[in-house]
Amino acid sequence: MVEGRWGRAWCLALLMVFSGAGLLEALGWKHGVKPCWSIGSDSWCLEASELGQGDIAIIGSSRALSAVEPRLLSSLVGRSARQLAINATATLPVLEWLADREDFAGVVLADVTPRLEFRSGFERHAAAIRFLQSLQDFRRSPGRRLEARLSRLVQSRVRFKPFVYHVVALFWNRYRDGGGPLSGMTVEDTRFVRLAYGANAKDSDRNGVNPLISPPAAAEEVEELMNRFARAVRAIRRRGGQVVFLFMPSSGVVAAREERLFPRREYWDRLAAATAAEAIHFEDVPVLSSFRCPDGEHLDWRDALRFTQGLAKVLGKPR
Amino acid sequence: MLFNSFVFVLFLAVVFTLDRLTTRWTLRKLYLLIASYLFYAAWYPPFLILLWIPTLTNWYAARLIAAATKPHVRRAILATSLCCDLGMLAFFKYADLLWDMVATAIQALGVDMETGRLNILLPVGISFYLFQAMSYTIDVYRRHIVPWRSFLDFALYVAFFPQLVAGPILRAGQFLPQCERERRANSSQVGWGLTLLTMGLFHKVVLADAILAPVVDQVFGARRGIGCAEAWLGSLAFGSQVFFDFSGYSSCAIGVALLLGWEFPDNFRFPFAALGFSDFWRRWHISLSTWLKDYLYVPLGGNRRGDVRTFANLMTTMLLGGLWHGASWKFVIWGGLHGALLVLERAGQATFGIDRMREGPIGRAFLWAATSFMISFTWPFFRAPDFASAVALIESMLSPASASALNLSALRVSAVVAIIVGMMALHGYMRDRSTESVWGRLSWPFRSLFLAAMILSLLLVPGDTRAFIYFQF
Repeated sequence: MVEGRWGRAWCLALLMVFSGAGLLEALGWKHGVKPCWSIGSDSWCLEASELGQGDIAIIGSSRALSAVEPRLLSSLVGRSARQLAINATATLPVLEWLADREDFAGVVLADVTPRLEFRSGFERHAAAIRFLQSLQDFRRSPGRRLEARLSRLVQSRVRFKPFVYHVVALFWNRYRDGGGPLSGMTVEDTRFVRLAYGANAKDSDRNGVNPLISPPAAAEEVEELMNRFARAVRAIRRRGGQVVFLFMPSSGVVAAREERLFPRREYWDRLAAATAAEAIHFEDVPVLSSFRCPDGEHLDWRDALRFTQGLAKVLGKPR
Repeated sequence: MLFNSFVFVLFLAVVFTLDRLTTRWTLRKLYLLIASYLFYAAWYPPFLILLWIPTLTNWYAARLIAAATKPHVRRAILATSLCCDLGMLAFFKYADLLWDMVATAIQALGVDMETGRLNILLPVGISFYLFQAMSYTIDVYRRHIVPWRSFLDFALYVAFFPQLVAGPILRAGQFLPQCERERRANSSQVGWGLTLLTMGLFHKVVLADAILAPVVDQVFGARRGIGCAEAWLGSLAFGSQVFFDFSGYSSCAIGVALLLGWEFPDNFRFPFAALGFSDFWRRWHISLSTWLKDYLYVPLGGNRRGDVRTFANLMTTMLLGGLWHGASWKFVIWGGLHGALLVLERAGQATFGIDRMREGPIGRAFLWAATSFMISFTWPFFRAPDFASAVALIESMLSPASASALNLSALRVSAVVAIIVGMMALHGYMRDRSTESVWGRLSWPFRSLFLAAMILSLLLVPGDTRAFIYFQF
């Protein structure tokens, strides 16, 4: 047992903690940093559990996570939006899960990145399947449900943590590529992808894990995937729901390589035709085409609000 | 319920407050038992039944054993009780592995049969509370203890929430006597208990999850192109990660118990300062290694029946110890490797004069390096997703020329290397000291500074909440 003046030690320690956190919180307020909610399977499960019948479900990968702000979208389009995108995964399993949910008849905003959806190898669906599987455990665990709610409650109110990431991202990107942009965060109380995306593209090319270098799946497999998309869209529509496919902005070398490996005509246009769903390619919409992705594939966090506003306008227009 | 969660912070605040407010000792124990059941039910309420079954069977088995006079009756009751406990463990933890073995055997006979997982949900901490309950019955059978008088005390012994899901595995003799007289934490216990809880969370959340885990995940998740240096880094980083993760949990458990006035034994004693493999197991997961020694190795004959039998006993104990960690052949191999290292050490004791080497600085340095080096080869079997990946990683560790394609971030690697080196140095310094003695020498402002630094780091680290690695066991 360690004896001594524990009362004093703890009081001083807590004083230092509150002062430090308070200072960071104040700096966060001053610099306009907004609270955000960490990404994770439990936060995803909570959002998925709370998805209402007529809600907007935003699904997809990190591109949607970093670019679409559900709260802002909700306020602009007048119906509740839930962020159900999952980092580094194809969209199809979540779309199929929504299609199987008899109680869902809302709008699905599906960020479809052909190089994630139609690449070879079954790992393309791994993360999404893992999240969907964890949903069952989440629902039967009162502790996990309560933790996710408490976590959202706390994280959606404090700014000191995102502020520190804001600063770290600034220095990190400077260290990595000589002064890249801030990224890796979304504003509002949704979630953030904890990455400084600045130099990811060139790094991941070297380490061989970048899905960009995965070749497309075989023709029959692509055909089967297209059919699965079409079936899911039909099921959602049958219940009065709607599916809108989104091709999120990409730029520079990433955009060029995507087009080379997964030509728009062969994948995106074909998906739109096969499913007969609404398909919004960022290049076709002026309000969405002016964004530059710092790492080639994710929007700078500061652009997320502007992108969401643009998207809301597009969704609101009769097409 | 994870210690590193908001729910647990709330839970602990309520339990601590009510514990301080309740005056009657029996009422406090009852209330701690109810809190422990709530703690367990937070994960999946129906599995509370699994906690009640061994509580009831072992309680009655121990009483019947004590009441029986004929040895064969005592043996039969003990066997029945152990069958219940081990049967539960086998069903929930090993059914998939057993089914897989049966199906493979049938397929080998040419019968067309579908294999596939049974997908039985593994109850959190089942290995821990079953081992704890079993040890009580065995101790009564051996007449080391007499059956406890109070069922409430015994139920609390099996289910007490700080150690319920990942140990330390307590013995009845360590816990039940504490139930006899009223316990209430004094200010030093509260202060030190909170410090242990903070340190444990810091180890888990900051060091294991935020810094070590991303590099470990990247190395062990790579399908190809792991260079020699990266393979070594991955293995050493995983060893450190699992240490900080599990010793972090143990610190939290000991600290939380102390907050409520209960004392638990240490579960780790600076294992990376071990001078030999037997020394390592005296410092790593102490409550499990002593459990295996007392209830498996010694009954098998221990070292009393000649060298060959001793080696066989060591191997059996470590193979089963490996299997305890998980229903996978990888864990059996991991245990087998440790068993082989223990056998080699024992065999070389006389030949190489290992005991004499421990006396001089050069010999100690050699023993430390050899122990750390060899143990690094066992971690891949613990962590790799499958056998082939573990072998590939070990091949990379042994091939200085193997090409690297992982491209780990220099900043992350620096942080991981700093932690590994720092941990090794700290363990070396602390080898014959205790954490208490070092903290005891710190003046209170320094204690405050360390505590504030750890709490601020906890508040600021990024990342997902990860479950403790040992929860799966």
